[in-house]
Amino acid sequence: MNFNNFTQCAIYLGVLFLAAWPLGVYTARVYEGRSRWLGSLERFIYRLCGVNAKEEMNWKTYAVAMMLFNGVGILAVYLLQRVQNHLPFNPMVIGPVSPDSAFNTAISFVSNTNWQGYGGEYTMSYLTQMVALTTQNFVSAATGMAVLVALIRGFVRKKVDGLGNFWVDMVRSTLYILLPLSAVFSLFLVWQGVPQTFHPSVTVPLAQEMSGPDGKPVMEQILATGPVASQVAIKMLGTNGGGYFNANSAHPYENPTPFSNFLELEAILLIPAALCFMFGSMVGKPREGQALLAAMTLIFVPMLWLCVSSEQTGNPAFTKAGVDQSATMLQPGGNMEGKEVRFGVVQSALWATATTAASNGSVNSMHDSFTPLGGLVPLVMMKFGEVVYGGVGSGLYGMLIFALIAVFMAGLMVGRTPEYLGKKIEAYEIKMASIAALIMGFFVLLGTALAVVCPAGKAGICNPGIHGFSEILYAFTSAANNNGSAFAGLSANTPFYNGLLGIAMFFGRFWVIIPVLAIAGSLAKKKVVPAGPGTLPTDTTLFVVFLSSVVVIVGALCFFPALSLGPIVEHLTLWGG
Amino acid sequence: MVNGGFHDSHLLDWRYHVCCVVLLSARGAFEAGGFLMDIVYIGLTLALVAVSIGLIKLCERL
Repeated sequence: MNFNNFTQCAIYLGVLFLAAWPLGVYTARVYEGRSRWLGSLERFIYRLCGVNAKEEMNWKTYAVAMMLFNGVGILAVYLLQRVQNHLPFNPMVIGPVSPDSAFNTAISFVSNTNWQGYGGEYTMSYLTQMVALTTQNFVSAATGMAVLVALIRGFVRKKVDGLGNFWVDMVRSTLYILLPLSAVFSLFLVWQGVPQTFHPSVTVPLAQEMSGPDGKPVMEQILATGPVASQVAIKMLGTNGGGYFNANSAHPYENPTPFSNFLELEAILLIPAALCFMFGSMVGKPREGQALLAAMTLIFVPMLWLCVSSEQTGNPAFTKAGVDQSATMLQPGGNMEGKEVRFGVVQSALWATATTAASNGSVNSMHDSFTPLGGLVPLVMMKFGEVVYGGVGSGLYGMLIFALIAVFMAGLMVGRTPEYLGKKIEAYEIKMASIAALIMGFFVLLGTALAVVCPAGKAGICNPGIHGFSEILYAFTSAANNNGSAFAGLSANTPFYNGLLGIAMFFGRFWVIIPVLAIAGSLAKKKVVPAGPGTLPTDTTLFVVFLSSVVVIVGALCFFPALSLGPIVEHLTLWGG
Repeated sequence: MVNGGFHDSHLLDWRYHVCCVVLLSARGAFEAGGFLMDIVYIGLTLALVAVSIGLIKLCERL
């Protein structure tokens, strides 16, 4: 990694932490009810929806409300896609989405995955994009934040059943955090050149005549537009990642300038990083939140270094072919296949690492064209459970699950009952933490195994061999972790993949949330134990290193064999000649 | 005003709007030739939600 690369990465992380700290303090004030600057609107929403804001829910009621809300969301998004040709705001007269694709897309957007087996600009009407997809971008992110807040209340509260009110947490997440940030960010994107219009696509003459696949001359090009900026803003901030256009943030209408690229990149990790500060503020121990952020950064930085270095080193096959891959004043050098020239190696590798560290999944380059080690990084970041900053809410509650496992392991080493934030961690919490930590791996490996043995699974492989396996493994890793990015070489818009990936997305999201809420409910009932000489401090450098090691070890134990069959052997084959 | 069985007051009735959505869905599905598949995928969604509610019960017992 040269000085230029290092500087870009350092500026990115520096700005991220500077922006995350005040946002974290603000979000804590929102959930504690100390910041109510939209109080009248909030109360109106409660009256409209018949919500009793003072009603406390135990973990089961909270979980059932969450589950039913999201179940209805899936059905609504499904139906809207199926009847979009009969509804307004469809100037391009786009037909209904196929049943399997509609099912996949509905679960994808409700589960905050935003896996897209279709091209948005020619599959979805403006109404579907706005009412179904963008709405789910908000409420799916709000669901993750609500679950996190419930878990934090489990740590903070003593000897009670209540974890707060799901509807109140949803409204506050959306109204005070996601909507204001998205409104400001949308205006910024419009300023940078992202379209926000209801006008149909524009047909323009080509500046230079081209030939089509059939050899006939092509004189015109269709420039798809629409209400893009509003969807892109929440897609980045809510760690959703579903692009308005098929090319996602590599498309100049989604990401027009280096400045928009920088701020979209910051937006991916802004709220997840801020929530660590919020955690510290809500538990009354800011150092605890900083320790979790440090553990995340301790994993993120080496992985970022590996990705940037691998891409900057380039592809040995190109070197043999006489291609100059060195960085000069005139070219960024490295492996530029599948990357935008305007972003270069570093901004592409940085985006790939950040988007898979979070459950974002947007792309500004094609991960399928990365070098084997460069592509390994996004794959591994997801396989760690997306707890390195992670999704909005889901990243931190995932990391807190690993923190419980870490203190449990530390307790086993010294023979004491483990504690975290003064709450004793007992058998029930560890059972639930085990379900939450292992359910994702189960669906990744099961789905991949099914796909590589079924003819319908193998039919989608465009690159037979090692890389084809990597593409399938990436698809199920992305789905079960609710990421949404892809090694795009896989033809996944088929009933087989739409169905199987949809199921993996569903379980990867909600079967993690349910045990997390069960842990929250159990912790809330416990009393706080004062720290004693045998208590493991969880805000020290030792714990930070231990926690990040636990994340890496659990991920490696689950996935090393599968990774060995994919990107690792691909790397050895490439460099071994 | 009555027009072919439709009355303006229907616009104020939420049940009318629900019926519209359901009928539009059915019409769209039939035109796309996927009505059976719609039943399959909606049924699958309901089954996934039901199984998840079951997990909540299971977590309570563990």
